[in-house]
Amino acid sequence: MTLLRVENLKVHYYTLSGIVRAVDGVSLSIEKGEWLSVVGESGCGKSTLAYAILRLVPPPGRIVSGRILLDGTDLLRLGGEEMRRVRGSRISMVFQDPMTSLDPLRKIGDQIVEAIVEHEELDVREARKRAEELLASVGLTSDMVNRYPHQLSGGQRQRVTIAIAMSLNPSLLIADEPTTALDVIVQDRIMDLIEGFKAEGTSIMLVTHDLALAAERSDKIAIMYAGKIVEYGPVDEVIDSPMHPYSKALLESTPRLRGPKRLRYIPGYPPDLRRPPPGCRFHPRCEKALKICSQKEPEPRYLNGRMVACWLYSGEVG
Amino acid sequence: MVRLEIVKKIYEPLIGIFGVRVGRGMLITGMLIVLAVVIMAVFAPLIAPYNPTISAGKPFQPPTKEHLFGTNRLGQDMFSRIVYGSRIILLVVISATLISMSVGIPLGLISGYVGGKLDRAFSMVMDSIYAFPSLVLAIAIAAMLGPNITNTALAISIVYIPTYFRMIRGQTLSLKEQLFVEAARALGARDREIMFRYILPNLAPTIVVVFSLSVADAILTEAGLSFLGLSVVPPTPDWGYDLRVGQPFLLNGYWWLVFFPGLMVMLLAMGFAFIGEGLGERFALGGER
Repeated sequence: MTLLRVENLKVHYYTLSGIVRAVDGVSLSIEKGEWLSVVGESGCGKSTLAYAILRLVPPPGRIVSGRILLDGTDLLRLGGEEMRRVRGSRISMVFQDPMTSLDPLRKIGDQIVEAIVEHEELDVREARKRAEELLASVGLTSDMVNRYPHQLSGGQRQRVTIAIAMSLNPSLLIADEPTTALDVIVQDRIMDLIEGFKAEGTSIMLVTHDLALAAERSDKIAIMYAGKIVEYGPVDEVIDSPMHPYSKALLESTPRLRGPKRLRYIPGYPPDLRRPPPGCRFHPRCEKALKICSQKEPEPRYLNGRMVACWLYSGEVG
Repeated sequence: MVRLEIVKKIYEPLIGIFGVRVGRGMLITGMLIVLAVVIMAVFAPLIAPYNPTISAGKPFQPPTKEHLFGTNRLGQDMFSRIVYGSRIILLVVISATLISMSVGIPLGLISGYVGGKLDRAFSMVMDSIYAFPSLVLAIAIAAMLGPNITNTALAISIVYIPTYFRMIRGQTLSLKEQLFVEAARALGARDREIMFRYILPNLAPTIVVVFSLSVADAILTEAGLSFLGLSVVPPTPDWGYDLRVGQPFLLNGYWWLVFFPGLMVMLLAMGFAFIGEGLGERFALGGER
């Protein structure tokens, strides 16, 4: 069953120096209980995509067009109050920096209780009990309810933000680089934690620049470049046989234990999203670029459950 | 807050030399001064030896054992007038500041949080109030409303609304970009809740500091108003009023008529300014220190 379907979503930032097309025609879907990872470089629009799903794109950004269907209802058509009820209870989000994503002035327990009573009519004592259970479910002891954020380590704080995000049993958890600020061991534990929630039926959308991290746990993976998804499909297939030259290059620039000693790098820089190059946005950096790549944008092609947007796989060119 | 700049200018080099300790010393000194005046105001009937509104002896007596601060032209005991005067000035200034706060803080919060056209409109109104020299504006409002305690408090409160508005708005602008505010929104918190339950508590240090600094400034404004006869009606004891009444006799050498009221105004204003500066140091507000 499809939980979330994003169709042709466009999010633009209207800055003084021009329109930044941060998300430019993105389509993807997440099934119930599925883990989708969105992978891309900094500035490719992956975080904007995450914010857009919650309709929290900061100004001057605006969702220009497209549809975001959650169980069939278009979130972009909901009123403000209806959308507010979706946030936290149906879709919730964990942010990159656990150091600043908790209110410094309030105890952990109070912050979890706040999130619960926001959506459910529970009395405070019951909500407190739930808060303690939630802390236990993320591997923290229940006496943490009386601690302040500054008394916790980064990993502990991220566990708390996950507990808050999971407090209302959302159908979809969006995690925007949840482990970037943490060390590798803690990163692994946090990922275990998120995987545990997935096993209980929550769908996960992980936004990351870490391909290795995404490859390890995801069911599906979407490779994003300059505001567009260039390749999308089941994780094993994309990792084992990437089709898009960008995915290939990204994989070859990820260190492995058994592999070539020297890492490949992708020459050049990601394009300025105010003036993206014509045609395929990757063509100036692509070593397989054809003539048509700089002239016409490649249409996404669907081949047995995978999607790729590249002229190399288009029948017309051969 | 222009006059407080002077206090700052004097103390800034000291802070440079002695570090944070000056801040702490300022805080304690300020608190002692304010505490002393508050005790004076609360226990005025016990402390003051005479009734401040009726003659207690011969006029124009210099400070003696019977009349610690001397007597004025009506033979009223200056010490008793000063003790009772602290009640008026504290009452006027504190209530005025509370009014400014209760208007300026919510407006600043809403303006900074909502932004856009509303913010521009609010800011424009506040900036135009702020553009007037505070004393001139207070005089204009007080003169319009007529001299009595309530009107003085009102006049002063209007003058200091922009001070709160600007500080709170600025802080709100930076706080609303904080991730925990974003996180609250992602959890479905309402705007009202975000403003008053997430942002406002984080503004507390700023509010406390601005409170004591604006009280310090308001004391000078109140004294100025009553010096010009725009505040209390005689024979109510009031420092600013006593200053004005005593001033013509300065040429006769009756220095005590202006010295003590003036000293008290200065001390109290300084007390609050020290508290504000000391706390600002503590909370490391202002960045440059």
